[in-house]
Amino acid sequence: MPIFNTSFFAQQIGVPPQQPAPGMLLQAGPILPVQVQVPAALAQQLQATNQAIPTPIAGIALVDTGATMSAVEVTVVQSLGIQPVGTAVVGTAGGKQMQAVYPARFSFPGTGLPHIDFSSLFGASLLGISPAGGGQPLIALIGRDILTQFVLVYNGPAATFSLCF
Amino acid sequence: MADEKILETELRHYALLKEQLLKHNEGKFALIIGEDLLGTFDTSEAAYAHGVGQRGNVPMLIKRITKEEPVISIPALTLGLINAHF
Repeated sequence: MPIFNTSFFAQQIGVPPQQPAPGMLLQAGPILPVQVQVPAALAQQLQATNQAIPTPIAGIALVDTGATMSAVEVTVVQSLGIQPVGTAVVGTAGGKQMQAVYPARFSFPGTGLPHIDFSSLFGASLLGISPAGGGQPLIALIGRDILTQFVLVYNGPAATFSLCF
Repeated sequence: MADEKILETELRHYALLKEQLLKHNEGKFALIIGEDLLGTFDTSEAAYAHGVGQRGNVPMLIKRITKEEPVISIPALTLGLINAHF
């Protein structure tokens, strides 16, 4: 069973051992590296027609237990050339809006977790948000549709979280 | 992307076919491109693979055939909580 563990420590030079930093987990949330790429069926079709398969786009995914459906930054799937496969109606501050839904493959480099082929991901606007306070942008939300396959352990006092597939 | 015209033709065609699809294919996934119903499938992955294989990388509607439309809830986006500032 692949398990991904992340710990947040306060790093202070000359002060061993490292201490858990619940505040860092609080700020960043349960995040993990993600690569968004074209779905397997599309990759096969592109390969069969001698077309280039777009390079995966890397960023950060945030586990969002409040979301029934996982989401992806819409400009990421658009830049990969992925076409919509449906729509979803969501409520916003400005009223109900119809948004496109896309298929895509998520992989989680360096985590040991398997890739996931999504048949429907909510196309959202997530750019400009850097949950870890720097580095790569947030490009995906991992919702409860995927958590049906995972065990999620969030340990606030120890500043750790784990995802087990 | 917030666009009322996303897959407009396909959604209109699905609405026309819905009652008929419900009689024989409830729970399956309908695949519609333009005004063509390409079939019904047990999984959305199978529908997508068929659509891409038949028509290439084009917009398509893959819709579960159900009486009630599922409710999508993503409060963090709905309320803008991911990037709220205090």
